Amino acid sequence: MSVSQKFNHDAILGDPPTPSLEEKPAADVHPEEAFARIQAQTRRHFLRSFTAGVGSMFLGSLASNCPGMACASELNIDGTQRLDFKRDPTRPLSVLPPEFTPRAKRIIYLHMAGAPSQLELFDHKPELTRLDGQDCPESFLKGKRFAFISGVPKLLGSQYPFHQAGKNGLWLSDRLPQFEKHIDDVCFIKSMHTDQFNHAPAQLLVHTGNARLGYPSMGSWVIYGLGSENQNLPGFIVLVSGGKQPDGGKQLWGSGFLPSIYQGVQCRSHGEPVLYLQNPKSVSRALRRDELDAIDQINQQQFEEFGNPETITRISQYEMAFRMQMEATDVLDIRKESAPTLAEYGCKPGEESFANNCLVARRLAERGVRFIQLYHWGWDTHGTNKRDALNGGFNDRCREVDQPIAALLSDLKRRGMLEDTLVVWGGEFGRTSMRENRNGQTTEFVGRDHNPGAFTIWMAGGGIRPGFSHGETDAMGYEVVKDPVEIRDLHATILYVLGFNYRQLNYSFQGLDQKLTSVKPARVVAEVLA
Amino acid sequence: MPSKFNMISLRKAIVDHCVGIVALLVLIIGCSVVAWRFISDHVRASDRVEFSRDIRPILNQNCVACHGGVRQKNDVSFIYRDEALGVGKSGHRTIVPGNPDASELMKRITLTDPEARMPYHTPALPPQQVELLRKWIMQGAHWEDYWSFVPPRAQPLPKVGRLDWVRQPLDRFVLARLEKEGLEPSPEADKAQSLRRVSFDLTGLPPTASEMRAFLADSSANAYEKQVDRLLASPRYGERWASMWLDLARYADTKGYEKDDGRPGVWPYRDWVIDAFNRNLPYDQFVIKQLAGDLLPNATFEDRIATSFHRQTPNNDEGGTDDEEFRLIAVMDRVATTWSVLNGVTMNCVQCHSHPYDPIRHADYYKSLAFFNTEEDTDLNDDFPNLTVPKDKARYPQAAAIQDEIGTLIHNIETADRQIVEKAQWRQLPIQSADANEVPALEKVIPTIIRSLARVQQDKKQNGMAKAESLRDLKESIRLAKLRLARAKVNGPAKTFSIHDGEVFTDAHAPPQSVYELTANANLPVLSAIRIEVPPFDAEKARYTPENGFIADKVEAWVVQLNGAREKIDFRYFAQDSEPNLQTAVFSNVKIKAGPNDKSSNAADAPKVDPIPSSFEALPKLFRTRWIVGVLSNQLQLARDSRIEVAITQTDEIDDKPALIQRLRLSASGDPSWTAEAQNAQRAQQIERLKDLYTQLAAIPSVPLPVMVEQQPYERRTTLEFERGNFLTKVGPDLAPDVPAIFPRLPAGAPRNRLTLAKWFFQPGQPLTARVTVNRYWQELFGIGIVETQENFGSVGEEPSHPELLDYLALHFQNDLHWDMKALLRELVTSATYRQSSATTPQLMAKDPRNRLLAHGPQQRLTAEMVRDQALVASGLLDTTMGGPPVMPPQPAGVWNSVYNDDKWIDATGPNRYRRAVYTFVKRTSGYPSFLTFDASDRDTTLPRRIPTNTPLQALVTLNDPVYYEAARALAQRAVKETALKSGAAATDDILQARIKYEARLVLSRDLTARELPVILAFYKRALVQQHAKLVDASMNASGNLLDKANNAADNIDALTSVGNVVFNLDAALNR
Repeated sequence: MSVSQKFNHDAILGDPPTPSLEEKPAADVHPEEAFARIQAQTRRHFLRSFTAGVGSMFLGSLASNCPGMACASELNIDGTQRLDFKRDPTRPLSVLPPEFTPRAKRIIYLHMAGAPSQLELFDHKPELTRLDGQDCPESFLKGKRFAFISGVPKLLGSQYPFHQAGKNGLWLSDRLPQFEKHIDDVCFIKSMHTDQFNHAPAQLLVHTGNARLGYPSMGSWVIYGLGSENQNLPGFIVLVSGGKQPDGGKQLWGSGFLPSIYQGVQCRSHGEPVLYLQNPKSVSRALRRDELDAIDQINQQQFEEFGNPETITRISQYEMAFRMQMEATDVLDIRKESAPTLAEYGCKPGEESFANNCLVARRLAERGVRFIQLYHWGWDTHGTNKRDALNGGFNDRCREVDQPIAALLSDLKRRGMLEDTLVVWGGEFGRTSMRENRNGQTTEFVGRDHNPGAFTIWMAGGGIRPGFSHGETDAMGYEVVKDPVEIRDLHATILYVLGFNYRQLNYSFQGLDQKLTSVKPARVVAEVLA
Repeated sequence: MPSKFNMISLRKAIVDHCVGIVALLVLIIGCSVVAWRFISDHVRASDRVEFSRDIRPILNQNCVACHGGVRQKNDVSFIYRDEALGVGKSGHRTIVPGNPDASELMKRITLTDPEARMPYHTPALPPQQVELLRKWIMQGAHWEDYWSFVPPRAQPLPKVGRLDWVRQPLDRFVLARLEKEGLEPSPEADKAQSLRRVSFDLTGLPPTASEMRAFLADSSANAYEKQVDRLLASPRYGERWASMWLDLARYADTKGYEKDDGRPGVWPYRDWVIDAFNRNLPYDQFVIKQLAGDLLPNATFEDRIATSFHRQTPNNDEGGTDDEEFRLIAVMDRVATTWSVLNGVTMNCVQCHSHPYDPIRHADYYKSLAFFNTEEDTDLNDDFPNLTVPKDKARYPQAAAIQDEIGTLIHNIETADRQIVEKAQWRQLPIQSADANEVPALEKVIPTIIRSLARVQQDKKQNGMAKAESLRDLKESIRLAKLRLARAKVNGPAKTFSIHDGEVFTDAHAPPQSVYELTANANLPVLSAIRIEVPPFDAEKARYTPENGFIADKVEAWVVQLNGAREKIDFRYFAQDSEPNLQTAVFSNVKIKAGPNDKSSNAADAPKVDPIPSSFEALPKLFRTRWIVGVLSNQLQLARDSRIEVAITQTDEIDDKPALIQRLRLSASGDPSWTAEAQNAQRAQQIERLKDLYTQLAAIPSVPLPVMVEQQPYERRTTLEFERGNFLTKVGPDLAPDVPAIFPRLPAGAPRNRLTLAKWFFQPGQPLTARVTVNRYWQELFGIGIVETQENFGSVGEEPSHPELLDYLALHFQNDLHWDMKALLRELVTSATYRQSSATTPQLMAKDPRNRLLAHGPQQRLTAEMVRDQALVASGLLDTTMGGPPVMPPQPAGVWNSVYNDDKWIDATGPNRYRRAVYTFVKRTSGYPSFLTFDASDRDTTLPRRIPTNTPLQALVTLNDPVYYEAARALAQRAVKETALKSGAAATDDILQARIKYEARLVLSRDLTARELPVILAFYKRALVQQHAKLVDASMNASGNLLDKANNAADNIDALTSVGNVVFNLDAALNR
């Protein structure tokens, strides 16, 4: 059945609706209220003679320094209505309403760095299994660039048995038994493909929409567009496990040309959960409060003398920092969870593990963190040694993520949060249908090379069609043959779920209305929407 | 909430304009453009329609997205006049000058059918815009180039009322504008504010206490100017402005991407930049040296160091990447960076299609790229080509002389060989059989891997996961190679190749380590040289889209008589087809003791010196037919029916894939000139001299600096247009280097190279270089440029707030100041405009919230570097050592955990802990955290301006980063020491006040006000109580009145440290 008949792309993202100013929901705090709050906070009537300037102040601060904001005409270059990203300068992360009603309010994005094999997990290819060990057809090699394969490699069938599961009989292998219990909640896209076949550029493409350095990450775009629900925590938090950073480095959660306030904040299991979060040893919380009171008072005096609105912003940022010290420390402390919960996820507090990060992700989601990005490392299964072999380390990777992911989905569901949380799982590309033969040689361990031609991701939760599989690869699982989905389509879909037309969420930089989806036309994959 | 505010003004707009609802929507859209481009007063009543002012904005806003550089729907485009006047697919002329009714444009924008009306599927143009277009066509549809592409025009100094206010000619432009708006300039800033502002702006540091004292005491009329001269002469000046330039140069100490390995030798470039600013190298020279210093006649060593500017591009060392792809990414980055830095032009857009708004065509981009497509660098892991730069500057002349002589010798030897190759008679040796034999190759490889294993095992510097992984990989490689060797010994030759017309084609793949064994009939009587040629499969295409490269380690040959007698040919030397290959060959022949530059060397890894190096390679790609010529020591008479056997050993890999030759042919020469050259004593001497020079060079402690090196004419790559930016599909004719057609032409007859391009940017009539540069300085000093979008001077960038001022400054800088950067800065910072107080009023805030009119002085947040450096200066911790390798001030543990390398951040101890920010190690994938939080660049790409933000994470840095806490403590100790010395008295409230004031003065560059002091005093006392309470809690020994104690304790370092921490976090401390 083709679902695309039911969902017309243009109906979803056709011409933008005529904006109605009256209907546009107001952001959470009225200007007068905001000022009342600051006044109360600062115990000074420093604005007494300043009410005439209130309006203009909103144009100050961050907005005034952003090319995309200051010079924004309200039409995009393609003629669509431009969203208004102006904010109260004292709260550059304040909540802005998306264009239309969002299906999900937040994202938990689980990235498996190194690119897990679709052929050992989700993409069932009996024909490939039948042809295991035979020479790979010439057509697979012609005009292709590989990272490591050379000469004529052999076809490699799946290393693990597949079976059908769930109400809809979706196929999967035996490697993720816990996750399997949620198969009726998830939606697979088996027709993902990319044009990058090296880890760092491919990861950059997945996370920033561009294979080169210097572009804002998905999370940065989302926070830029929506703001953060919890003003005491960063809106975009990153957690890394597996002992290493992903290949693409911190740029994967960088803000690129967007202001740096929108970059992801990496939280850590070792040391301070957020850099510089803890007071120096000799500074108690009470002393810190006294410090801030002194700073705030003097800053008010400074404002009265010079009238720079940035000074007011600074007062509120210091207050937020103070609150963040408490709240971030608290939210990242999984020891506050019950023993059964810890057991369900397989957590060991104090360790750096994917399980711990999954539990933290749920805690962050609960507190209104908008974009939670988890990285797990070690999925690059070339088979050059045991650790990176499909018949070696791959099993460990599966074990490391299976229970925590299952627990996360159960937990979100139990709390009624899966409805408005989008969970995404995937790597940066797929793996070849051929066995890797580095240097033209058969190795002791079994592995596959990078395959940009096809890979599988899954999504669950907010607004996603559960128990469904979209797209198909050929009989070898090598290339997409039906309903191909580009990375930019995935981005457009994720933005859509959050309430954006991907064409609208843009920012003027270097002469272009820059978008997460880049300059090429993207498509919302309507088929995967509930 | 901002949309409320907008709504109010919009409602007002409805009343004012009394237009219908549809037009209102358009107004909403139009309004903000007009509001922000408030500089050009839209005089709608004026009769003369001006294209740039009135028409282009309408076209850019509504038309060019579909009818412009990217898409030219229905063959209609509004980028060039000839296109706009052309005939579209409809068969009608889009615009007919003088006749609006005959113009399809007018017809289409006034239709009522929404399916046919333009702009497509959006609200109709408002009536006044339609009217403007009609009028414009009626008046002849004249066209104007966008202002920024027209050279600056000389501007008369405007008449102003308050001439007494003016200090510099530039002030008249600002004042004229203020007077027009009915605004008064602000009073001059007080002396303290002035000195703080100008000290930071010129040197990046706050004034010291004694500098401030001296200035306050100086009542002479030019007291301020004297300070400016002092600051401009300070070596700190170069360090401050280098920070700006290094953002543009995307300078970093690592290579970027996945592996992000270090570039240990890159810092001499940073030091060159600092030094160039301090020497006040004129801007034109400054840029020309960086773009093309290597091509300058009599280029100096420093000129070559300067060219590292364009070697700051990231390098991708990830396994399995395509070096040609990332070479081109670096080349494209050079194009984008050059145009962005010098002209504010966004060339990136044109990579894939014609410029969407600006009149720059797709092919123009690739003509620009052609200037940068003929360099030797190719994304190799060793960053080749590098200049060997001594760590000690005093040894520059020595290293320069050695490398110059090496360069000359290499060039001369290669040229001599090439000439003989070209002149000599050659006869093809048709190959009769060709096999790939694994056995000898593996026998050579296995000991090499074993040596590598030993080297890694003994490397004490590496101890982490990466070391473990490489050990494991090496062991696995050895195991596999041994397995293969055993198999190959049983099975014989792994592969027999096919032969066509006497040439070998390795159409099927050979084992990755192979010796090619070739036999050919010796069809000539006398042999003096044998040539191996490796042609591309498609020679025409390879010129611009190369094929896979190869690496041959060794070439040997034999003559085999009919009777089977086999004699090894005695080669005297091998002639090489490129200077890099000759260099590699000679260098491999040099025995260098583990020298100061070769830390990894040890006995186990000592390379075996080959007396007659015969390696040759096309690394990493094959652009042209490559060759090597084995030159016999003596001519050899060949008996009839004898055969020649050739063995080529190949064991290496490129980009983690086998690096095998895939096609080759043999030829032979009996030409006596080969023998003459083989016996040429001078040649032998030259080679010996080269070996000697390499040995000398290795003895100088040095670092490798990546620099620009131009390809020789015979090896230059060709540039074609990339179809939609795809580097694998190129189209059209060969493109000669050129600048986009919209700009003035390159001087006729000048060579089309980087040097000509670099000089062209500074020729009279170049419309943008001077404007963009003065605007950059304006931006640095005033926070916002005269053109706000420093990164974009094109037609979708912002228009200048003071167009005449911009032109005046541009021409003045270029023609009167001759690109003298210090002179320009001096005029800017001594202007009345700059010297105004930064205080604003509610009225002014309402009228001009962003101070675009400059009715008050600038107030800017400190840059990331300044935040750090201020704390170090104030606390007295700053170490003023200049230059040298980057340093690692403390950063939290665990911030660095890169994939695939065990590099570690080791917190500096001693003076390197307190160096200026500009010397901090820059790792691309993991920047120094507190700098990134304060908006520093991650240095991935050129950054024309930093956008300052104001975030809670910044508060956490200056409150909690141990660097600032350490500084606060040092500041407290300094305060106690300094004030105690002076008073000599016991702790009293007076001394406490003196100490607090002292701390504040060092950080804020001013005294605490009468309102501020009590706040801090009160805080001090609370801090003391809290800290005492803690002590008391700890000792359970409470006695006496804590508050009394607090009042009397003026020398409590903890409490004074807390005061320091408060002071460092004041708004006044974070601004200049």
